[in-house]
Amino acid sequence: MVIADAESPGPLKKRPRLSLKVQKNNESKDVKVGKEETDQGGEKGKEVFEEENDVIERDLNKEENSKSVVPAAASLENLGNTCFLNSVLQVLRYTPGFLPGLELLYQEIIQVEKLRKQDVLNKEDAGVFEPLESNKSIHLVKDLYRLYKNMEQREENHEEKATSDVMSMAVKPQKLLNIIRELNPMFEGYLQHDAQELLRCVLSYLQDSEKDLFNIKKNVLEKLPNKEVPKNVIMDRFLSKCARLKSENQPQNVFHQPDILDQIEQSEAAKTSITQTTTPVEADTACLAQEEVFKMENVPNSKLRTTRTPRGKKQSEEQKSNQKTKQALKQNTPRSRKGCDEPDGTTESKGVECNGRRKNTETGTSEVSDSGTGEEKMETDCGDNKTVNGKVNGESGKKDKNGKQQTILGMFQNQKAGKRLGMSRTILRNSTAKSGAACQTSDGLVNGHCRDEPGLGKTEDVVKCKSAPALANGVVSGSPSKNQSSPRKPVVKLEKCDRVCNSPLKSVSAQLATQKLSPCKSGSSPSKGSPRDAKQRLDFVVTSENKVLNSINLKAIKTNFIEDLFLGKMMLRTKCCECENCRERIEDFHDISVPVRVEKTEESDDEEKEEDSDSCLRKLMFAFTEVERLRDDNKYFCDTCLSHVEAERSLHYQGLPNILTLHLKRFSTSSGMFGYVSKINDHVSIPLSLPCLRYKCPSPCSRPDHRYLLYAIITHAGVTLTSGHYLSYVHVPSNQVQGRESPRHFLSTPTRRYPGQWLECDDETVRVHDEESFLGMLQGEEGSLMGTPYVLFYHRNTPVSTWSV
Amino acid sequence: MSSLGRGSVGQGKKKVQISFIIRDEVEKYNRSGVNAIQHDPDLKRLYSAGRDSIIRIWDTRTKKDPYLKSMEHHIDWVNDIVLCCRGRIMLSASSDSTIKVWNAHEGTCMATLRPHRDYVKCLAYAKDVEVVASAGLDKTIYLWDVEELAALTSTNNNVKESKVHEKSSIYSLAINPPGTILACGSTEKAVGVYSVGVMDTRGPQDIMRLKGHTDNVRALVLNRDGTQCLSGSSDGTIRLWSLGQQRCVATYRVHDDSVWALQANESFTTVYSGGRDRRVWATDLLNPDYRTLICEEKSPILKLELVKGDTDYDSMWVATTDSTIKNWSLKNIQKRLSGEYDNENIKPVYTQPNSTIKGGSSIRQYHVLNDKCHILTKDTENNVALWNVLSARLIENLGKVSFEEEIKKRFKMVHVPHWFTVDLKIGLLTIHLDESDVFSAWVSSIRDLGINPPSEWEDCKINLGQQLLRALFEHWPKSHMYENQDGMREMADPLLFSVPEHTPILIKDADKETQQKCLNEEVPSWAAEVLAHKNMSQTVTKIAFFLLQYPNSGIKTAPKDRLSASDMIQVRKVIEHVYEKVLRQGVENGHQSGESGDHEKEAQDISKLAAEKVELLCNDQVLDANMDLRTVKHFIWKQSGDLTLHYRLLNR
Repeated sequence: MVIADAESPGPLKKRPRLSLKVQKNNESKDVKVGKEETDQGGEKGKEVFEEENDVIERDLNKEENSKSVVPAAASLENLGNTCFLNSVLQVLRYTPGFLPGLELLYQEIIQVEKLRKQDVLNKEDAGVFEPLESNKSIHLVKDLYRLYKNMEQREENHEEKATSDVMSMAVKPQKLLNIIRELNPMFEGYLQHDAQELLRCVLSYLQDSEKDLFNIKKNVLEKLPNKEVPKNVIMDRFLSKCARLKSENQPQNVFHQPDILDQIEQSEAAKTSITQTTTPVEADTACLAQEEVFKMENVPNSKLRTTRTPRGKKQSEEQKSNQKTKQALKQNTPRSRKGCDEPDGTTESKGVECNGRRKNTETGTSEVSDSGTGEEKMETDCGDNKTVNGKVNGESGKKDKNGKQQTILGMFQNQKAGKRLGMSRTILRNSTAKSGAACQTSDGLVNGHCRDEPGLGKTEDVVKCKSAPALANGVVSGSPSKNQSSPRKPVVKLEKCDRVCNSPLKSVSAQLATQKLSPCKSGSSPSKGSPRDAKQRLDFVVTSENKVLNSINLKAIKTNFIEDLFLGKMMLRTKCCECENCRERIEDFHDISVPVRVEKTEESDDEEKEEDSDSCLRKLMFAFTEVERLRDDNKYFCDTCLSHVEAERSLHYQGLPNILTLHLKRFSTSSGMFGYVSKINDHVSIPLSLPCLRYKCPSPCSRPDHRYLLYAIITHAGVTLTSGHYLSYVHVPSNQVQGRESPRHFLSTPTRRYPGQWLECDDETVRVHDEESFLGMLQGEEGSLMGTPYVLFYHRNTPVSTWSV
Repeated sequence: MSSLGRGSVGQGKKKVQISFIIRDEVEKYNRSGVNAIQHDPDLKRLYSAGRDSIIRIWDTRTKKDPYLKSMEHHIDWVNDIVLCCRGRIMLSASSDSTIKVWNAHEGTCMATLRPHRDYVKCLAYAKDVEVVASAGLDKTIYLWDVEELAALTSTNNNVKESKVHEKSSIYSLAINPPGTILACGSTEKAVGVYSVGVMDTRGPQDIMRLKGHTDNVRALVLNRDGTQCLSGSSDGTIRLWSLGQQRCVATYRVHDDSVWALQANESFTTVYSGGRDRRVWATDLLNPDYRTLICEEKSPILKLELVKGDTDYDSMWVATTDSTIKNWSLKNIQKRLSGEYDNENIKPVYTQPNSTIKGGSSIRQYHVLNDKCHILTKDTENNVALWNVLSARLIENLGKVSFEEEIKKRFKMVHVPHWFTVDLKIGLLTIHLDESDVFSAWVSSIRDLGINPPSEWEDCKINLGQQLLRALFEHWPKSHMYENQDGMREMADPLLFSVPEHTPILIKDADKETQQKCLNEEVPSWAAEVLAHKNMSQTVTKIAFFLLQYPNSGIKTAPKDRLSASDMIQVRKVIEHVYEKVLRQGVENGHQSGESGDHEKEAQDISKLAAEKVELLCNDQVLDANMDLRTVKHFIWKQSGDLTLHYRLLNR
C-alpha cells in the first residue's frame, strides 16, 4: 500500500519543486527583521536569554487557542528543493540534547572570539587577528544556532505573527544553506539531495568545529601566558593529560569527571613542579599555579559570599556550604557555565563567581571524599604534613619539595580511594563533618585575610583570596622565590592553618598554591617590591582569572556534544573456527545502515519465510548483525594456527549512542541501469521503541534504559534519490520530561502547546498529529505517512540529563 | 575427478608457485600439533597425523625411540586419518584438499584422491563394510569403497564415489560400523543424519537434522546399530541424541569450553571427551553424575584414541595442539561419583601419563633480515635460530635468546627487494617463490650472504631468485640438457651454491609434491625459462636521482641534472662520477695544462682519489661508499620522489 502511496501523489503533498518560491513581500520583511534580531541576540548572549524567559512566562499567562492560524511551531522555507535540508534541520531541532549542546558550543565560540580579540589588543598586532568566521565549520555553528534562535523567537511571537498563511511561521535557512554549500559544493544547485548525506555532513562539520575551536582555544591560551610566562610546556603536558584522561574516563558519569581531572591536574602540576629545578619551575608553573590558587580560593570564596560570620558559627556554616556544593553538584552545569562564559570586564567578577561555584563543587567533592576515605591514611599523611611544615618553616627549599612529594603521593592515593568509592553521595554526607574540619584551614586562611584587605567592591574576594596565599607565600618560598615583600602577619596565619589542617590534600594544595603564587606575582609585577597598588593587582587578577577561566573551560568543556549524542561503539569479532580464538576490534559508528531487502541467507530460510512479507525493522537490524563467514577463497589468517582457516565475523553493539540513527538503505545502485540509483519502496514497519541491542545483555533485556524510543522520522517521497520530496516527523517532548532538565530550554512553545504530539514538518507547513493518529499513520491504518520512512531517529529511554552532555 | 586445487578457484590466471621446505632430512618428531591418531592393535603401532603435514608411524612397545617411519606426501595439515583393512590401508585427509591412500605397513602412498574443493577435515570408517566417508569445508561428503581404493594403480584410477552436499562447512563425521547411518556436524550447528544403504545406488539419504547445539559441532560418535549419536560442540556441551525419537536425550556439561574430541566405549555406556579446556573426562552416559577427570593436558585436545586391553579399553592416546602425544591409563577410573559440579576443585585421576611420544618444536615467528637471505625464527620452545634461504639450511641455533634483540643485532643497512614469502603453517620454514617477484632481487655481491662464490663471480651481479631456482633444480635433467646441446656455452655458469638434496620442492597449483622424474610437465614456464634456456631477462631497475653540490662547499653549482642509474650502483661509483665528470672539469679549467701520462695514472686509481677528495651526502648524512643507491633511497632518503644526492669536496 505504501509503495503505491509513495509513487502516486498524495492529496496534500507538494510535488518536488524545481523553481524558487515566489516570495511575498511581507514575509521577506519578517525574515529580515528576525535575522537582525538574532544577529544582535547572538552577540548579546545572556541578556537576551533572560528576557526570553520573561517572554515565556508572559506567554504562559495568555495562552490562547487560535485554530485558524498555523501551529505555533516554526517551519522552514523551501529555497528551491531544499526540503532535504529542512527535514534534517527540523529533526536536529527536536533531537534531545542537541540544542543545549549547540548553545554551549556557540557560547564557547563567542568566548574564544572575545579572548582572541583581547589577545590581539594586548599584543597590538592586529595583523594576526583573523575572525573565527573564517573557519567555515565554526561559521556553520553560528548560523545554525542563529537559525534555531530565530525559529524560537518566531514561536514565541506566535500570536502576533501567525496568520493562516503557512509562510508566517516560516524561517529562511538561506545563510545556513550558503555555508553548507561552501563547505561542501556537492549541495550546490537546485537538485534534490540525500538527506542522510546532509545529516552526516552537518554533524561532521559540527564535530570539526568543536575540534577546531578547541585547537584555537589552545593556541590562544598558549599565546596568553606567553606574555607572562616564558614557556608553557607544563600546560601542554597537562592538557594532553587531561585529554587522555577524559577519553579514558568516558564511560564514567560526567559529574565525577571534573573532580578527577582537577585532582590529577593538581597532582600533575605538583609533580611537574617537583621534578624540575626550582627556579624555572616557578615561572613555568605560574599559569597552573594561578589555577591552583583559584581552585583553592573558591572554597572559601563561596563561603565568603554566603556567610560572613564570626568564627563561632563556623562549623555549622561549613556544613551548610558543603550541602551547597552537593546541591550544586546535582544541578546541571549549564548554568554555571553560562556564567563563566562572560569574562567581560564588567561581568568579570560575576563570571568568576559562577565559575567559582562550579569549581567549588568540584573541589568540594573531591575534598570531601578525600577526607572521608583517607581517614586511615590521615595519620601518616598528617605526619608527612608536619614534617613538610617543619621543613617549610626551615630554610631548605629543596628538602621541602621532597617532603611534599610524599604528601602528594598520599593525596594521590586518597584520590584514588575516592574514585573507587565513586564519590557517592552517601559518602559525601557521612564525611561532611570531617570535611568541615578540613575546610577550616582554607577558611581560616581567607577569613584571616579578609580582615587585612580593604574591600574592593565585587572583585573583593577574588583579590583577597589571591592575596591570601600570596602573602602566605612568604613562608614557603624561603629560598627560591623572589618576593621579599611578604608581610609577617600571614606567616602566622598559615602556620596556624597547617596546624589545624586535617586533610592532607588541603595542606598540600595550600602549600602548592603558596609556593606557586610567588612567581605569578613576580611575573606580573616584577619591578614592584611590594604589590600595594590595589588597582594593578586587580588588573592582574582579572587577567589571570581570565586565563584560569580559560584553561578550566578548555578541559571541562571541550564540547563534544555531537560525539556524546551520536557516537556508538561496535565490536567486530572474528572467531577462528579452528582454534576458536577470538580477535576483537572496536569501531565507532554514527549511524546504522539497515538493508531494506535482506538477502536470503542459508541459515534463516527455514522458518522465517512466512513472515518475510512484513519485514519488521527489528528483523532488519538483526540481519545487519548477522554472522559473516570467512570461507572458501576468503579464508582468515589466524595468528594462532598460522594458517588460513575458516572464521566467523560478527558485529556486536558495545556502546550504544544516546541518539540512534537508523538509515534505511532504500537506494540501490545494483538494480537498474548504469548510473541509475533506484529506490526500494518496500514497506518497513517501524516500531515506536527498539529493544536492547547490546550483545552483552541477556536476550530479553529488561533494563529500560537500554531501550530506544522513536522521536523522529525523515521520509522521502518520490522515485529516485535526485528527485522527490523529503519531510520529517518529529515528536514534541512532553512537558514534564523536559521541564526537569534545564531551567530554560529551546522548544518551550511547541512543548507547551503540543506536548507528546507529533509534528509533520513539510517545509513551510507544519501539521500537528496526536499520538494515536500518528501511530495509525505509522501502521498504515488511517492514512499513512507522506513518503516512505528513510532515516529513523531513536533516543535512549532515559532523561537527557543523564546523558553525557 | 577434479584436479583443481583451491588456489586456482576463482582466479582467472593460473598462478603457479614453487615452494620448498627448509628441514632436516629425517624429521623424527612431530613439529606441530597432532590432528589425528590411529592405533593398530595388531602391530602395536601408532599413527599420528600432524599439522606438519607428515604422518608418522610409532612403535608403542619401545619407549625410548619409538619413531619408525614418516609418510610425507601431504603439503598441508593432515586433518584426519583412518586405518582400514585391519591396518593394511590407511586413508588420510589434508588441508591440501586431497585424500591419500597409503600402504600403512610400508608407509608408501598408493593414490591421491582430489574430489574435494577445500580442506578435507574429517574421515569416518565403517569397519564391517570397509567404507570410508570424507568431508570438509567444501560442504560435501564423499563415500569411498576402501577395497576399490586399495586396487588403484596408475593405469586404473577410476573410483566410484557417492556424494552428498551439506549446507555448511563440515567439521565432524561419524559412521556406524555396519555403515548404515552417517552423521555429520557442521557450522550449521546441527547434526545431519543420513541413511546409507550399501546396495542403494541413490547414495546417502538425508533423514533428519538434529538441532540443539548453539555452535559448531566438532565431534561425533555413533553407536553400533545407529540408534544413538553423541555430539560434541563448540558451545561446550555434549549431547546424546536418540535417532529413533529424533531428539536430544541428554546434555552433558562436563567441559568449560568447546568439546573437540569424543570417543565412546563399544557398549555406549561411557563417553570420553576432550576439548579446548585441555581436560579429558569420562562420563557415564546413563548417570552423568558419574564422571571422572582422567587427565589434564597442557594444550587443547584435538583427538582421543582408545586402546583396547584384555576386556575393555584400558588406555587412551591423547593428541593436542602440542606436538607431544601422551598415553593415559584408563584403569581404576570407573564409577567414581563426582558430586561436585565445580570443575575447579577436581583433581585428575592421573597426573603422569603411561608413556609419551615426544614431539619437537615448531617455528612460531620469523623475521626476514634486510639482506633478504637470512631469516631469524623463534620456535615454541623460545629457541631462536638463523636460517639461510639460499642454501636452505639452518645456519645457527642461537638458543633461548631474545628474538627482538637478535633482530636488532643483525640489522644491516642494506636494501634488497622482496623476492620470496615465508609460511609457517606446518611449523617449519616454507619458502614460496612466486613468478611476480622471484627475480626482483639483484645483488652485486653474495659474499655477504654467507656464500663464497668462485673468484670470477666476485663482482658480478647476481639474481638471487634465479640462482636459488637453479640450485633447487640442480638434478633436473633438463637443466643440463641445454648445456650439452649448445657447444658454445658448454661450460655454463657453475652453481654458486647448492641446497640439501632432501629439500622437498612443491609446485603449487597442481598440488603435487613433485618427484624429480616427472618435473617436465610440472615446472612452470617461468621457472623452466630460466632453468633450461638460461634466459634471464636482464631488466635492471633504474633509479633516478639528482646530483647537487652540497650547499656549504664553495664551488659554483652545476645545473640540476636528473641522472639515472641502476639501483644497485654503489655510492663509490657515484663518487667516481662526481670526481671525473663534475670536479675534474673544474680542476682542468683551473690548470690549463694537463699531462697525458698523469691522466692515465689518475684513471687507474681514480676511485681511490675520488674517495679521498669527494664525499656524498643524502639528507645531510654522509654516505658509506659501499652502500648502493636503493639502500640510500630506502634508509636515508625515505621518501617517494627522486633521490637527491649532494657531493662535497674534502679538504685535506
